[in-house]
Amino acid sequence: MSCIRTVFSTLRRYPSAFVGSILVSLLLIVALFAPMIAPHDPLKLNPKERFAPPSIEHVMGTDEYGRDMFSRIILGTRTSLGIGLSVSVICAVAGGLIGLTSGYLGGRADEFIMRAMDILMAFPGILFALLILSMLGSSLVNVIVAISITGIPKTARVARSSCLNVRNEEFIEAAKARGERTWYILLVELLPNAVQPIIVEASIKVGFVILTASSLSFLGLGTQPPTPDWGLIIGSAREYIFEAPMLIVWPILAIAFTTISFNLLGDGLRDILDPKELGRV
Amino acid sequence: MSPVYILKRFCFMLVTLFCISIIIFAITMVLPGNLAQVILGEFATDDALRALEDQMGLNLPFYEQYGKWIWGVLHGDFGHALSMDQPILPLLLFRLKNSAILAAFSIVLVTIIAIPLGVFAALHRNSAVDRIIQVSSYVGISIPEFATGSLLIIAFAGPVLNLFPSAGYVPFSENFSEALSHIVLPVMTLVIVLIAHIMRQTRSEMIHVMQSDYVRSARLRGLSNRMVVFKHALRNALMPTITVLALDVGYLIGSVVVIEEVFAYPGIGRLIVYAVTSRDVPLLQATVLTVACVYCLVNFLADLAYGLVNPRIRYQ
Amino acid sequence: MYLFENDRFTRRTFLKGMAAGAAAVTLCGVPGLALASAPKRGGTLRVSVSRELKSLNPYRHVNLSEYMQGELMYSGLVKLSHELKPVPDLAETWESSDATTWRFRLRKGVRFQTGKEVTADDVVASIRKVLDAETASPGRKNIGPITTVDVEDKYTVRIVTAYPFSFLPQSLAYPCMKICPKDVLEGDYASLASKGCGSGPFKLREYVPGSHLIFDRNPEYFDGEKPYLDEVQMLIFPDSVAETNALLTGQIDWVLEANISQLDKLKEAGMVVTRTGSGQFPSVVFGCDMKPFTDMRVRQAISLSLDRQMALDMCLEGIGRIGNDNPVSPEYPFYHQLPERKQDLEKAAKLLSEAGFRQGSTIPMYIAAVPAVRGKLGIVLQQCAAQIGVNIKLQHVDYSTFLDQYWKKANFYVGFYNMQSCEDALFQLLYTSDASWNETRWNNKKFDQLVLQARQQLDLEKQRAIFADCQEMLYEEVPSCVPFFLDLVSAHQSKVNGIVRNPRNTFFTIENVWMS
Repeated sequence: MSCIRTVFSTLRRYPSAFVGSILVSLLLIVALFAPMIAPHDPLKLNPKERFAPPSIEHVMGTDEYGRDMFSRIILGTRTSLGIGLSVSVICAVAGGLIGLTSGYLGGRADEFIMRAMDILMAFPGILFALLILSMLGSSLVNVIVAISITGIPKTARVARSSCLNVRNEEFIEAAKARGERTWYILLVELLPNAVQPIIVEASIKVGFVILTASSLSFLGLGTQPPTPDWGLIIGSAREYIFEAPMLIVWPILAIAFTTISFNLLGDGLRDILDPKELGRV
Repeated sequence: MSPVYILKRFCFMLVTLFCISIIIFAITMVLPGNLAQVILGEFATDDALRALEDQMGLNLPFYEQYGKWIWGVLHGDFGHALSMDQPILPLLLFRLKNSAILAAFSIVLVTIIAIPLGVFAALHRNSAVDRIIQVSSYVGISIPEFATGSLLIIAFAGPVLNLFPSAGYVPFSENFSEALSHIVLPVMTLVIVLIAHIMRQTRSEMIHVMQSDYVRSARLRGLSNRMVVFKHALRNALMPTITVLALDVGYLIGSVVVIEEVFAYPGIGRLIVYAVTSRDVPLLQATVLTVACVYCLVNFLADLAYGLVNPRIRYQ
Repeated sequence: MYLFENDRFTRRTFLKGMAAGAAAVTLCGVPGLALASAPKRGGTLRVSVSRELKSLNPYRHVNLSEYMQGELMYSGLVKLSHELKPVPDLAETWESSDATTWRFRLRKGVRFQTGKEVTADDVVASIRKVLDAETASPGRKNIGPITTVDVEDKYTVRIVTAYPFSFLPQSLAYPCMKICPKDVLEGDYASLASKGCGSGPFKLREYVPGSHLIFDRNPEYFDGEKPYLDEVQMLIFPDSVAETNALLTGQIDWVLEANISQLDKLKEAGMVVTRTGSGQFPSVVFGCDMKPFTDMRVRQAISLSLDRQMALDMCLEGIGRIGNDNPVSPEYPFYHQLPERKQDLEKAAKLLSEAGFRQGSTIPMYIAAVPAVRGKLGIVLQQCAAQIGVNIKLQHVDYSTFLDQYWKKANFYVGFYNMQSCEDALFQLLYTSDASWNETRWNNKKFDQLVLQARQQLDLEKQRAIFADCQEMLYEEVPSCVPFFLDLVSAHQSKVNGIVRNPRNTFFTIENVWMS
């Protein structure tokens, strides 16, 4: 009980984290129960009700195939959150390991790994993702792979600098003196003490990933129809931009809402976990 | 800033570009889709395919193909765009120029709008204006550029307010006002996306500096608020902002790719997407490498500028 | 009867026209409107096309933009009229007594833009260029089974085919079959990629890749007063919304391929929208040598599950005509009318269970990104087939990957094909065992035999009967499902006269266009 109360009172002191966590929980619930929330089958064609305006039956109207827009938007949370969260986790794990190892090893290995990361970062992100996707082909999984690859270097940098802060602490020296193995020191001693910035970085990343993924879908290089995906909906509705502008507006609202929620949560977490940075973006 | 540092930094840039060129070449080489098939199209016979593959050196080992390519690039020969049967270089320069026009307009506008707003917000922290600026910039960074662009098209190019063309391009040399009206919406989109970014950055940097010991001591010395802001704080806050501005050029490049697609603007971003979808490998290699070069160069210059403005910073 | 509508139209009148049936196959050649007043010389035509040109070399042309550029700059031997009849271009007359040895007699005194006169030498060199495998011309297999081609005299070309082939003139009207000077072909052939040397109605003045081409009138063009225009600008507009706006604001005069979702807007603004029935179609291709499509009943079932009207509405906003798996459209000379194929889920389900198809089995279907109608048809078919327990998994790939890895290889995908010059060309392209693109691998010996007979037959009525049998076989055995045919839809300013779309969609006859 007291634990929950502590969490709650902490959240209260950080309004952005508070609001962010509520919105994100809401999104998670929607994504989890999407098929139950959606009133219609998001893939079901309905030739008689193409481009229907909003009504009680179709809260957001219907699209060019007469599919229920609201159901498609609801199901779209799954795609977006799925990509956003999995990329963040992959980056945190892979980038975290690379960064911690690099920072812990130091010396030439560190120099080499970090230079490699710098080189990868010398590529505009979306361009790199585009190249990787053109190699792998367009699909949901490949979008996750492509964005993860472009995101790992940043996380690795964060993890490394966090590791450098801890590396020379006494308990690490002690562990070394005890003759512990490298992986043990890395995972048991270093990681728990250097993990906070990695978590912050990962949570801030979610919103960014969702934006990138939707751009790729929009360009036709990401998820593929008929998957309900917001970027994709906008891309295919572009043909009817003046005839049915709401087909574009709804998914934009959904993207903005989701990204704002995750950004709030990310910023809030940073404030909480990293008070030195308070007030900075 | 010592010349040694500049030299070191420059060498690192060259190494980076070299590695990037290898990465680009490697990725484009394993792309699905046979290059000879792309050129000859669906009508090619097997004999013709083999002949062309040999002629193009597609059957050579990787390092030889790479060597031939990079040798050409270093001599200004980017090869032939297969999907258009045109030499790449003139095409590339034309598209690069178009993109540069978009980028230049955007950066200038962003700089004169975003930095003052950011400073203002920081100085009047928690005021109503600050709140509005913060919220709107929050929304700004949470909407992808293609969405902003689409919304602007709906608002300004639709049947109601048909103010600007929704797509296309007219060269400035041909008709100045037409050309200008064609870039209004893409530039506006870029500016909206970037303003949010830079404004947030300037604001937070400014707040950070205002809280620093250095400004505090200036205050204690009895300097007026205005003096402190303009002579000390602003200068210090601008440095990181310049870096951000430079970093945002990378962000800008990414945005340009998407925005050019939205507005069907013939810039280098659209050329890249075209190269990807038409599997034009030489064109893809050339365009991506060019963009990477621009990006590296900008980062390099930003580093130098940063070092110049802030002599206290010493890099290892 | 609907076949060609030059004037503004509504969907209702169109459907009425459809219902009246389309048994006869005549098209009005030149619309009455254009002949109402005498053509006027002068003016500039600005026509917009959506696709970028890959090459200016006519022997390598594959898309509409290129065909248009080729037609402006070069002449062929034979053209196709709007009724799909072979008509003279550089060849004034042709004759053959056995359909094997052909003589083509050329116009005299026609000059290339290089100044040289067009002679049999040039024609022979050009045909040989197309036939040469190294040219990799799309026309290589499409201009007929030519074995030898040589000069008989200065103005006569003799062509011999491998077997009696009555469709040689039509085949020679293939858009890649342009005539160039012999010395250019044997000398600076590469120059064709950047400049012209033909005898067409216009000369290239300027080409900015990805942007535009500008042509000047060729004053020495052989056809009387034509061309009427002083200048033609071909503008490349990849974005159809921008293209429509440019037409509305008067920046362009003619949109070759108008955006079908914006036709109302165009008509309201006083633009002339033309619709021409064509034999262009998307098809659901079954690899007949691979399971489950080895069983004819599975193919029939999937075809029966499709709601064609819905597909047409959703894919093309209803602008087109419903097909019944016969790839021959009413515009072809030997079109054979067959009953409409209506959605019949019950019968489809029955066929499936007879074929032993396991309910709920997943079949991957490959969809290329362009044209968009492929993807839309995929979505509609997926939902329709789900109703009979066929689970189609759509796999989207970009066009080049599609060409390289799935087209002609995969056993289930959406194809998209242009109208051909005649039935024979269509069957030999897609459906016979030795077809250039034998994508269905239907390999039906009886069908092959019929096509061979028709080709060697000189009697029109007998040809008609044989081709009718061919169409019935395609209808019955469904090697590919043809849900609908596209219409060619273009829009132009009312000041432009003489625009007629050719159903084959490779001729644009801009030399007939004039401005009032």
